[in-house]
Amino acid sequence: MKTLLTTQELHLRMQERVLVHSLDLNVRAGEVWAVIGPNGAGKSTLLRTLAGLRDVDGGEVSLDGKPLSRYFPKTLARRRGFLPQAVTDAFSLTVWDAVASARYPHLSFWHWGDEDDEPTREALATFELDALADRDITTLSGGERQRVNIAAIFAQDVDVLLLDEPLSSLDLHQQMRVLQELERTAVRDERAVIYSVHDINLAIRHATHAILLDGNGTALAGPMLDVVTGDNLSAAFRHPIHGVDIDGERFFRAGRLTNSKP
Amino acid sequence: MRHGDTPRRIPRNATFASAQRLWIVMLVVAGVVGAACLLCGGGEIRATEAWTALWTDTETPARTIVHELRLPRTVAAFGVGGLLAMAGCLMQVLVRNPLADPYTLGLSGGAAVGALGAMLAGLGSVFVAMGAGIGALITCIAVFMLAHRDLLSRQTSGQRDDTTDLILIGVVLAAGSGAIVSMMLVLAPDRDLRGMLFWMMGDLSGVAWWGVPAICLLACLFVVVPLGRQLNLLTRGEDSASALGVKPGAVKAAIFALSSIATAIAVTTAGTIGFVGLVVPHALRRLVGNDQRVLIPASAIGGGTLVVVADTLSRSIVAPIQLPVGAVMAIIGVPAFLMLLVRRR
Repeated sequence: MKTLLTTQELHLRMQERVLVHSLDLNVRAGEVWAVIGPNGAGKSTLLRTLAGLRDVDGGEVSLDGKPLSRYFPKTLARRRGFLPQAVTDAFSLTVWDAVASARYPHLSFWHWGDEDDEPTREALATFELDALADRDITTLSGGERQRVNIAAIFAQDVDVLLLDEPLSSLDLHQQMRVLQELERTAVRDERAVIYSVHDINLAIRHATHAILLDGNGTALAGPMLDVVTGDNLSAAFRHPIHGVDIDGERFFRAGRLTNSKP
Repeated sequence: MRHGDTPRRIPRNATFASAQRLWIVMLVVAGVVGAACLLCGGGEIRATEAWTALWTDTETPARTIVHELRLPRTVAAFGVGGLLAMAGCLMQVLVRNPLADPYTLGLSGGAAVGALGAMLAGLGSVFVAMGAGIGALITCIAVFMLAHRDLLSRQTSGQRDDTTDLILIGVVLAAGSGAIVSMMLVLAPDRDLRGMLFWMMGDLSGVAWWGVPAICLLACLFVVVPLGRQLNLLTRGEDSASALGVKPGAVKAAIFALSSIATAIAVTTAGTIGFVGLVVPHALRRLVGNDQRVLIPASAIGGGTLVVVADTLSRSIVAPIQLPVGAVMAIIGVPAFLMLLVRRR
């Protein structure tokens, strides 16, 4: 499969703290990457950097072999989409318009956008949002808003999808639907998906690769089961985490902090 | 309104055809209102006389009143109202807060300091206008310098909600200028006091360059309307906008500069007129939705029409005494705005 997103010796710093010391990444079409790590380890910073919304602190991020900094913003927006952790809408707008706004990079300067409604319709249908199309987005629940914004990335029609905690505030059914759609689009449409997630057991089932950050500069990246091991997780989270096999499936459990049971 | 209530229906973004229809209807209404306002006014001449005077070439007193007093004044009022409403719209997108208006960022305070300073120094009306313009521009440069990290930085964008700083800086500067204005009013000799108070409440009588605001309004609209789609994306937050290919820093700096210039021109022409920038975009947003491509021109037309009406009222209610148009505007604006706010719940 074609290589889409690569990093060479990527270095990320937040003030004086080194979040990622040197990360070499090679993300190919069809792959689904999960970004895992403790709070404040730099998951969002890494995703924003991979999306080109933040300058690198060393090294390089490239899409199709060309550094992100050399892309025009609008050209880049036709290739990669990014879901921020939180989208706060200051003004009312309909769900339809929120999703349709993601078509912006595909419209020419003078194009009003009247006729370009097929991608929006499809994205709304994919995430069971048809009935909400005319609702005011500021009156929706947090989970519904989240789905609207995920649908917008699908309407944006990009090769690399970067999502910062897409599953937060979704119910179990919607979590599964979103994960299924992400995996499906990766394989069927030959795209690459990178998302951050806190639930390791979801990650190992719904991603092919993983990036494990520990917040002190170490970033492990590679195929899921090479990276996500009990030892690596315990070291990154500074907490005992053990893998167990149940019915042939691997699960990870965090150990209790004390022996006192409630 | 939250969950459980019946969902409030809001309009989807308009198609280009319906946007055009809306603008044309609003322009026709503005034309009719403007014409009506030319015919009404202080008791000097009757409406029918004014109507014939409007189209005659012979020099009559009625013709002089209509052509040399009312027409310039109406055009200036329209331009000022349009500029203020457009600036209000832009400021609301800039700080992502529907309660922002040109004066939230302290521009009116700066303008008042400049204008009253010129009056205090005993300078003529040209210098008063210049003082107002310079005061407004200095304030906005100060806001810009103090907040330039907010406006230009790429690193901080999205990491925190940075618009609060902008509003706070504006509010603090406005409070500072308010204090200076109070001191000037206390120190001013009695004969200047009336003029100063009038200026602070907005005054369209004796407008010198009456065509300037309208021309600037047109120029600003030509720059802003093509940016409309990017402004729409900015209202959803900077990270989402830049992920879709917008340069938030550049767009924000552009709309800040444009709305500052628009406010400075309006203030220079007519003194401070409040509420236009707040009420007009707010009311129209309910009517036409929040698509900036449609809303900004609609606000410009609506704001212009509203100030024309307010100005006509201010010169006709207790004619021959003229009321300050800013005060009339506030008397219309306050109940209208409260009604909009209460009806939202």
